[in-house]
Amino acid sequence: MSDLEAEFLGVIHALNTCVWRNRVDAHTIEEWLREFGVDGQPGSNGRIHALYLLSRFMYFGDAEVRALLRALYRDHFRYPLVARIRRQEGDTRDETRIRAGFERMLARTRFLGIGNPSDSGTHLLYHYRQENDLTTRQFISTHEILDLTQNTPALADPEIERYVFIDDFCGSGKQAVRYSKQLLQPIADAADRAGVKATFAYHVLLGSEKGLNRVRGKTRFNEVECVLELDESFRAFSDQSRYFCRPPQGIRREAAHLLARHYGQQLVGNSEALGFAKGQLMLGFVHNTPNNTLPIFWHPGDEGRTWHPVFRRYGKDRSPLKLTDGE
Amino acid sequence: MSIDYTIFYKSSIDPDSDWSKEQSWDVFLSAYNTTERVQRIFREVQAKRKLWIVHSEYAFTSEECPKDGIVFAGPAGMREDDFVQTFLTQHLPDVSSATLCIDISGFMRPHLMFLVRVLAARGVRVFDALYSEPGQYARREQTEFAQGSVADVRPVAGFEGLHQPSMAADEDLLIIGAGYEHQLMRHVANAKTNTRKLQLLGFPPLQADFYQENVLNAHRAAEAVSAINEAHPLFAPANDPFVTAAILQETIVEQRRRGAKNIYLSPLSSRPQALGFALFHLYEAQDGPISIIYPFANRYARAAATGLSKIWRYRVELP
Amino acid sequence: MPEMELPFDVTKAVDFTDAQIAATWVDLPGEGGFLELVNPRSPMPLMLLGGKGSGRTHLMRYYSYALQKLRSRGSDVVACLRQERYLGVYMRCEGLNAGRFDGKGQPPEAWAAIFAYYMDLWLAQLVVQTAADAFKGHLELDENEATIVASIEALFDERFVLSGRSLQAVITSFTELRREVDLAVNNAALTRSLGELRIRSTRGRLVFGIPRVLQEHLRSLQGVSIVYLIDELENLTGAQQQYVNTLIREKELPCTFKVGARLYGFRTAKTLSAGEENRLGSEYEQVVLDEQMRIDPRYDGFTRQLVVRRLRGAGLLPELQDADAGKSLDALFETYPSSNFGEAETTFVNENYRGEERPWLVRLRKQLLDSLEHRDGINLGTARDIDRVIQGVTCVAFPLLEKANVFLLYQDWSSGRNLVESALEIESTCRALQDGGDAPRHKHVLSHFKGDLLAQMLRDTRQKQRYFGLETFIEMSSGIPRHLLIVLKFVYRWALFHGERPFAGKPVSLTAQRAGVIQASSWFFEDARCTGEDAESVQAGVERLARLFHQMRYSDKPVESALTTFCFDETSASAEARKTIRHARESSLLLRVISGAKDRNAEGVVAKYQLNPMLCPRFDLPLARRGTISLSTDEIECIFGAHTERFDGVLGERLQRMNAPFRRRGRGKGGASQGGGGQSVLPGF
Repeated sequence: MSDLEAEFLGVIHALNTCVWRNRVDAHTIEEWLREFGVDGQPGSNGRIHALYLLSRFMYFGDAEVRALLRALYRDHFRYPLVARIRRQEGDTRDETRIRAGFERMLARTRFLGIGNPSDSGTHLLYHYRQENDLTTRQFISTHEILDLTQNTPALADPEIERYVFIDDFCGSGKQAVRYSKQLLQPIADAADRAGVKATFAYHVLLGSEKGLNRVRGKTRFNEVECVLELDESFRAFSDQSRYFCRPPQGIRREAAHLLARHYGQQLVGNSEALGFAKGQLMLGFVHNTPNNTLPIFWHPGDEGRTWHPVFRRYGKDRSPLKLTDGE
Repeated sequence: MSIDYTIFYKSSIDPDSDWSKEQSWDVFLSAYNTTERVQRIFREVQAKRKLWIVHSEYAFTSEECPKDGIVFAGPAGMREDDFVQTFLTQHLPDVSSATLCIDISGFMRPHLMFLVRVLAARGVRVFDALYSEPGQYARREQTEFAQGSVADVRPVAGFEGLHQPSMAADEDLLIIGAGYEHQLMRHVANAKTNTRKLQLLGFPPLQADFYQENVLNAHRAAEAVSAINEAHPLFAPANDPFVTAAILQETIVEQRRRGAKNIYLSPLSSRPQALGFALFHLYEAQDGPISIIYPFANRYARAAATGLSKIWRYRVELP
Repeated sequence: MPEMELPFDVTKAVDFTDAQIAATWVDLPGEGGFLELVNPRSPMPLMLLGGKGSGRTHLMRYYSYALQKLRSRGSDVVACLRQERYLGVYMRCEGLNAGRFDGKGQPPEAWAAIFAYYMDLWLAQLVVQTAADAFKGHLELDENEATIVASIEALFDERFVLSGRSLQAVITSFTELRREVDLAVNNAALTRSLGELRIRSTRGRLVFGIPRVLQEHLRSLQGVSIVYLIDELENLTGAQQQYVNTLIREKELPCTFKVGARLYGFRTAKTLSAGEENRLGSEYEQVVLDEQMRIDPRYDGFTRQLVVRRLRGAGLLPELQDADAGKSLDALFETYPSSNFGEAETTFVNENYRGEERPWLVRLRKQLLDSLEHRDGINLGTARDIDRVIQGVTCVAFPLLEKANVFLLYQDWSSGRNLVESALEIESTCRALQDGGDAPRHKHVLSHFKGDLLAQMLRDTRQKQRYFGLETFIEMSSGIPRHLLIVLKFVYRWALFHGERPFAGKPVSLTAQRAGVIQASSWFFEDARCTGEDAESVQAGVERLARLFHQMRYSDKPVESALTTFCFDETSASAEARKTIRHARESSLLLRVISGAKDRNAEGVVAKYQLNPMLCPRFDLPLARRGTISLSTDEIECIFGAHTERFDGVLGERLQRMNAPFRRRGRGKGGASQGGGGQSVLPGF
């Protein structure tokens, strides 16, 4: 074992103890490395690069996701409302007045998940409510927004001023755009018709700068907030990549890029070898790994090509290879 | 009823916007270092008087000291209270009558905390603090900020508690705001060997990958620290002094209920967190067995971070 | 007990409650035990020094009142005190936050006086708290409490009325008095003034007076020493320690002091009594705990019991008798079985180099060719002889013997012998050895250098060095039990990572042991950086020393076996080098070697130090200590002194004599010695 390999294994071992919550063990890693064939053999350059990438993988476990959900609510929902109340009330620090104002605003807010009820965005709502001491009353399903019994769809409750859509991850932003077109547009139209100036907020735990900008520019969401925004430097092999701006000696971006692309291609074909919409990300959540992450980390393999992933992704479609439902 | 720190104003600013034109102050104060983020804010901010503080721990020669603005370079070996008091006497004798903005990004943490303590004592009720977030640290988890030997681990002036002798050996608690500097964590842990330790990590972090770099560094000191909550660390946002203060408030109430008597706090993470520690102490711990302790190093790396991704403005309201 | 699913996770006394300390106590096996070492009943003050993790705090807490109370198991604690004949008042200096008593515009003398007063109040409160707890509900106290309180009042310099007539009231009053000091001291940072602060009692009067008062009025305390167990002295500055020293010097019966400090923490022996120093032997005794443990034959048994206790706590060890369990621990770790000529340990050679010339032969061949080409003083005829030489030293069946052959050849080369003759002789003795015949040179090499040769073979074949087995780990800990626990903790965690069931299933794998040991070694090196003074230069010096040992170990012709020890003439070394070495010792990077007889040379004392075995895996060095190298003054300066820039040159010079073609220069002052490690110079040197 080279010193570099020992160093990366040390980091991985530490991450596994502290962040990955013992989800990965040496056996899993060895099986994963074996999938790289000769490139995963002891002493090979590929093995070192694969381990380096793994040592930089960002994982958000249960505790971290819950903390992100608290931050999402606290910093992006509660904070601005409290600041507004204080300003309106002459910078008051009177807790009773602040609380009363906030309760009023909260009563006119509804929280929703993005996507299919079985999707992660929706799944997180439960924890979002728990972590932030909210009541079930504040949560609705998308079909409850509009009253479809009328000739033209109308807002079911015109008193509501804020619709906050919660999501875990915004990669390319395509899902949010599609969602906006399909669902948000009729709601926004209904609001316009009713003369309600509603806020349609898209609140997400993590998002790429590009994806978030797309949502800002191409949707009816008039508020887009994200706890952790990932700029171009988080794309593993981009020119600005933070993983390779001062890599350890012996680690080269080109070599890692080649490795990830070569084996990514075998798994998902050429266009998405580095992740959906060429995401090139290296991150995962306790509940799933986004498909914008390098497939070598998450792909579970299929009949044509076995693959033992380290952070398996549970796809939205039956076949993990049909990645049409991107995000 | 206890204070709710999370009602204080904070806002984030896009550094590429016209942010500096929107507000001006009587006095702007910043601690000099060579990072782009600190220098750029000093250049762009609007203020009648702009003052640089030059910490001796960065070991700048007089040629290297800034030429713009008013410069106060304290001599080496000064305690934080002597340093800050001398500075105020020389340059801001009537600080309470001016509107004040402090860029905390380059400050030595003990000096920053003591400054806040003195401002409160001198009747300042509110000031603005700016903090610029870096894009990346120079050598990731191997980034080391403090250099040279730590001479002393002691309470920060103005945050020294009123402690109690105790016959039981297991009633003291140390909360470490764990940052990148694992050596500092070790020093603090070694100086308070007979305390149970809790670690507080910056989460959400300033940048998504800072968290695991932070964890890896904390892990390097794990044996010395042996935090009782290693598997379930406390989280406070790295860029939010107010939530940090709130988390301390909540944690300390809980720990006291479990029998903690003497409590030590050591902010070794981001400057906003250090500010949060100071605020908590000012509001709630000045008269109790709670101290803020710090491992004083004789030298400090000048530029550990690169880039400027975001500026935070905190409206700090003092008791 | 904490949840000890992971048996070695708790490595510090602080993470045990008093009850856990009592429940998990392991004494030194045999007569006397730790009690003899600490001797709390003795009126003679004791400085109990020890490296971090030597168990000092554990010991001091064990002799404290809280544990005495637990030992009384709920029956009369006073009876327990009478039986043990002492009352341990435990105090940790870190609680004083002594760093506050400095600066803030006040002169040092003011701080010295205030600190002494504050410490008096602190100790006084502790002793009253302890007595109040011990005598709670006792008739003796009920009858005399008011008198005791009045007598304590009388100890103050001015008329001072305590807040009531009970010991509880005394505690309240002391709390108030301390608060008065706290506020003045803390506010001085803001106001630059100590205000109206008054010192109300003469230095030391409360500390000695209260125990006397208690003994006078509580008959049960007669014949019971009041022992102030002052721990973590390193938290006090030199000036503040002078006050503790003064208390020791001026101690009055029934009080005595047992003071605990890290090695570097005992900064001065000076007192406030006209600058006089306390003398070892007359004012105080001293025990350096880890040094004591390193030479104590009971250490091995003690640590094994410690491990047994931990494993039992985690429900991991079958119910054997403790002594048997201690012995059976070795089987929990995978190791190489002992075999003829190291056959089992060297199978990797023939697995990896089947039909190929081994790296050490490739290297030898190249060296011979080069030397022949340059006519480098080599005693060899033609290139054809090279094959003969190589053939002579080759021993495919036993790679270790082959390596020994090569080593012997290098010795002969160095002494100028004809190498063909030498090779033929080596070949025949090697065969004789295999046939059970006499081969003194071979036997000598194998008995002394086996570890080093094996290490060289591992390095030549790009294998990791081997540090396996409990005995190895105990050796690594060198008198510091926490180091053993840390090694085991890391080994355990790596074993889990590798999917093993450590201590419950198969023996812990070599892979997990290796990773754990390396992690522990790196941890120790990093951790030492925040111990003691001048940490950076100390570390750099130790690293240079380790490099020297490393290069010597992996040279063609190592002169000393298992070399991790050096000696030097202290009188001729510069103050700077001596200081660096002293600090390295204080942070346990270097260990002082204590041998039976004093090591002296003509000029003065020869100091002998060993690299801490905890560091050795990091530098691929052996754990066992055998050979000692004598370093010249010049070399000492290049490693630890002011001339570190010349280190590479000096190292190179030494290595020239140890690597083929063994160019000889005039020998420096330094050279191999036959120091206390028992290593002798080989024939042919």
